[in-house]
Amino acid sequence: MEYTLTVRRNGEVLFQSGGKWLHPLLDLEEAIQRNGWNPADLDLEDKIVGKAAAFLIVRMGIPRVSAHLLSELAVEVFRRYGVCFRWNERIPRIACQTEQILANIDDPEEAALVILRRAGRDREIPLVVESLFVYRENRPILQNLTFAASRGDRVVIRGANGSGKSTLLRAILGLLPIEKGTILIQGKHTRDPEGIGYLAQGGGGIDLNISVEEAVEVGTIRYRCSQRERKERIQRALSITGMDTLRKRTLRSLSGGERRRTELSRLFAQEPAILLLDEPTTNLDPKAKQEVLEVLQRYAEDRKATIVMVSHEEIHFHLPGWRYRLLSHGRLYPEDSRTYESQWSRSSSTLDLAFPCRKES
Amino acid sequence: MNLLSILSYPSILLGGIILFVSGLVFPLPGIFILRLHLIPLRFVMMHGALLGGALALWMGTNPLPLALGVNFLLVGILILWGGLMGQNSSSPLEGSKVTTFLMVSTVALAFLVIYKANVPAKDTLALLWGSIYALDSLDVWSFLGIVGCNTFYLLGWHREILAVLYDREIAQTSGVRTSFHGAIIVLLAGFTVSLSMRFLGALLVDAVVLLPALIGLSLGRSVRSSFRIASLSGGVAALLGYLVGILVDIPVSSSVTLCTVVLFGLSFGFRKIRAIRRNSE
Repeated sequence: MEYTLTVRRNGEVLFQSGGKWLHPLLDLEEAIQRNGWNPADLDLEDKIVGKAAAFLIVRMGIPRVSAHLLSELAVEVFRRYGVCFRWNERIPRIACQTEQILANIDDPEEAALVILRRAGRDREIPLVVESLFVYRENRPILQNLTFAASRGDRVVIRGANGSGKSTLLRAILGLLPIEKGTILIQGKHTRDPEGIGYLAQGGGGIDLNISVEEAVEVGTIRYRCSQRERKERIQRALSITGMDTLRKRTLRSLSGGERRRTELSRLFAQEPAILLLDEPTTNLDPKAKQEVLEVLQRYAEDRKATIVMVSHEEIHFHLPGWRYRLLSHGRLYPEDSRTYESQWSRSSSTLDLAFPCRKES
Repeated sequence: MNLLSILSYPSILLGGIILFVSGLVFPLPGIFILRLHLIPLRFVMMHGALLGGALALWMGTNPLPLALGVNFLLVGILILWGGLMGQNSSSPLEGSKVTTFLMVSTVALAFLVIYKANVPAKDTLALLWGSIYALDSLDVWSFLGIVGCNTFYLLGWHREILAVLYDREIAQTSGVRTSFHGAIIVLLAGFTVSLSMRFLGALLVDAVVLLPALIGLSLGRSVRSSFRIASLSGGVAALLGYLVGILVDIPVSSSVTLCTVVLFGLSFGFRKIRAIRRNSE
């Protein structure tokens, strides 16, 4: 079988596909999420790379690409997002309808959404935010923001204070009015986001004598089930976070890290398909931060839940298997891959490419 | 006269039963009032009762339906305007604006009625003193209604209530219709305060509704235990206060208030001891 797409990590082949059109790249995205690969470690070799493929590669966060046939439109995208690329042959554009459709699109998220729809895979996307505008006190916070998170996708959204990170989560949850745009949760237009678990910045109930068990019970409200089933669900959620021994304690008697783990238990009791986390480790000491991240990482890998986390903390920017987005001027941008350029020169010697190619200096 | 012979008077016995049940049940909405920062609601209800009383005296009718009617209207405005727990309550300041506006306009209207209709101001204000031993059947039915509504709501929606008390946004994202529950809570708290004033007087509202709730919130180790402690301490204080009031021959409102204050002081001491023990461990 002739493979059109090959992905390597340190020279070892991790993924190969002989599929047509952009399906191999879409399958690769799922494989990255499934296996928890760090996209920054990957080298991608594709037969034809046009603008659509370039957007998907940028969206995945793969920093090094080798293409047999490379379009100038893809080159523009790679240059803009700092992806290192090699090619065998460069042509102005790929003669493909998708390339034409994407001609005027500059946003990788918007492009990905178009591609997923054309591939018939949009029904599988749990969370779609399209052309979203949100204003607060007549000031635009989010402007024409498009974003899609697939099943098992883990995304960290970073941005300066006041850039609108929390606003984005709150708009998705229906806690803020939206000016314009579409939010689809599991394919439905909704302002009652069933299936979403939300961890608010700072958490709640700190001034109330609420027990850990009761706080977790809040996550089970949607479920019409027997008392025994409810208790089992609460017990399961507490076990995941290691909070079962502290179940009778009040929230206010816990440390910051324990409170955060209780909040996560509440989310896990909800068993949501999508988790929205607003600065989940802010104001925690390094040990507590690490504990919370471990719980999250374990849950993400076990349950394949879609997780969108907003953060400004450095500790969240090196998590394996997560995508990173920058929220700036009301829109989301992929992280600049230029930081990986030094790795390119090291890893390029280990690449065993199927075709001779040139590298952009 | 001994205690048993005094209790043989139906109005006194009925007053005692109503006081005891009030002590058990009224601290429950008191927890809503304290936890959800609805204290201004208590003052809005007092002003509403004053206006209702003035209108009733002018029209020569029973003050209870009119006081309840005015307060129902005020609670409706609060819910629709989003001043307290409604959808639009973006900040406590917004709530304060609405409650201040309602209080000022209600008392202005009350004094307008008192002045224009020559209603004796003293009689209108006397309505705020309450009369636990002079209850008619309408009072008793209203009382049973509010006790039933509070109990039914608390037992039927305890998880939703737990979520709203925990955090409103978390409740909303966990599937609780917070606007609906906000409206119910304001309505129940408003009517409980209104009726408390009618039965027990404005002085006793704090003693029966708020102080036991405060005891519950400070001693409880969970939300449910806070409700249980509030109810228990309210019931005990009401019963003790009632008996002390009869035995020592002082107004029952004063004796109940004193008993609640003593319980509150004891709970404060208990909390301190518990904190010292915890620190020494």
